[in-house]
Amino acid sequence: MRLQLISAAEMKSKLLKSNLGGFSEDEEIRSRRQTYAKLNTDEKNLLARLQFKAGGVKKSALARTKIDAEVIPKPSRLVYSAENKRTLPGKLVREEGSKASGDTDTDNVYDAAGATWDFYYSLFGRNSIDNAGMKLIQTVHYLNKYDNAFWDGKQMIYGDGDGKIFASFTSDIDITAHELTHGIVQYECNLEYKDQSGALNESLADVFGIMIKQKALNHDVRTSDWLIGENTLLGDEYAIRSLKAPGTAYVNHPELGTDPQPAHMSGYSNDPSDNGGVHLNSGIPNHAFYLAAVETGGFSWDKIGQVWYRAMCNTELVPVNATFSQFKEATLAESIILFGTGSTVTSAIENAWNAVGV
Amino acid sequence: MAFKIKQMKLKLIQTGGFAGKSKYAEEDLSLHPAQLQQELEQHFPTAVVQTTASKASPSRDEFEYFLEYKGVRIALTDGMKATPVIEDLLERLKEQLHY
Repeated sequence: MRLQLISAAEMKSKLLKSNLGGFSEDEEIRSRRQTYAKLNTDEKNLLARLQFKAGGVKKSALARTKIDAEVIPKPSRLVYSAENKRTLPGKLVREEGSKASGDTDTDNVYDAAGATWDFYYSLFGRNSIDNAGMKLIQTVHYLNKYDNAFWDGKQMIYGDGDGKIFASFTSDIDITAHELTHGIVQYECNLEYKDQSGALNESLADVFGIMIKQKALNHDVRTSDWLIGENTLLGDEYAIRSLKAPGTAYVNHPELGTDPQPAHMSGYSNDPSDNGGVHLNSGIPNHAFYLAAVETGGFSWDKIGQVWYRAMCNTELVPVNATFSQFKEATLAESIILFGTGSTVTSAIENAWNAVGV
Repeated sequence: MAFKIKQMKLKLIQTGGFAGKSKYAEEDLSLHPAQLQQELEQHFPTAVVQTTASKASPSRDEFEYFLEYKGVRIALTDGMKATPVIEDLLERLKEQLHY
């Protein structure tokens, strides 16, 4: 049995509050769920009994309490080490609820996956990658000096980096959140990994990656640096991507040259060696998200993030081979539902896509 | 009269990845017995150029690998059959890319 995470009444109230620009009740609901999720079984049973005495819980619900307590969503994290070999998932080095391992990479991805799970659950009521409690399996120390992190369809995999150009790919929360979001995309609109749909896939991973970093740091749209992988690409002046200014994450890097990402459709290019430029052209929708978030103000996840999440899950408007234009239309449609046609949010989203030439 | 010796190289190209940057390792085949080049000729189609490794793969941000020989590029796949000599050569190139 699964608990209904957001009731219809709560959602209606949430939408009303959103339209009115207030989020106090939304925050309250979120906080209440997070607090409840942290209680142990005995505490949950005690709470249920107290609520029952106060007339807040039906007797039938009280009878189910023990079952419910076991199915309250929580992350299920498993971290393995490949011990610098190719074997997957490798040797189990940390599991849900266990204490820190002492290995920086293991503990980094454990914490980052927890923050990512919490972000999706607390804001969208989403229970893990598949929204059905899927285990978050991660392998660190993959191969030797491996300059990459990736999602293989079932789990996340991280290399240690070569130590010269790249540090460990566990160094940034936004990279873990990026890879987990690839998993979520796989279970939602499942965008094909080529051309514009592939660039959208990459962009969604970056967009949610940056939001999860911002949430963890409590940064709003003004205080965020909007950089992806700033600790992973070595050198204080370098990051891997910038949503604020695609094409500037690294400039005149001795090994990598200059960031080639375009911020506008005029710079769109088809790179056949990277599935049609999925890591290049993602700069365009990335920048649209940034512009919409900055024009709206506040925390990116409060309004624009809600719209992007709903668009990502809207398989009617976002087919597997979606173009940038189709995704733009999906964000506008979702914004109109959440905030209204003439709202500042919908206007900001339209302005943003227009500004990047979509 | 000076003779220009044409270098015949085999390139292993790594593309994609989280950072989306390409890099490669190469081997000068003139340093190897002529038989190696003959074996490579058999593995490289001249008419069809494959530029994408496995579009149906659910992997995201994973590196893709291509072999380039005489201007022809083919996707390197796990199931690719090669002679032991070519396998050894590929292993050396892979090591350079930490594959």
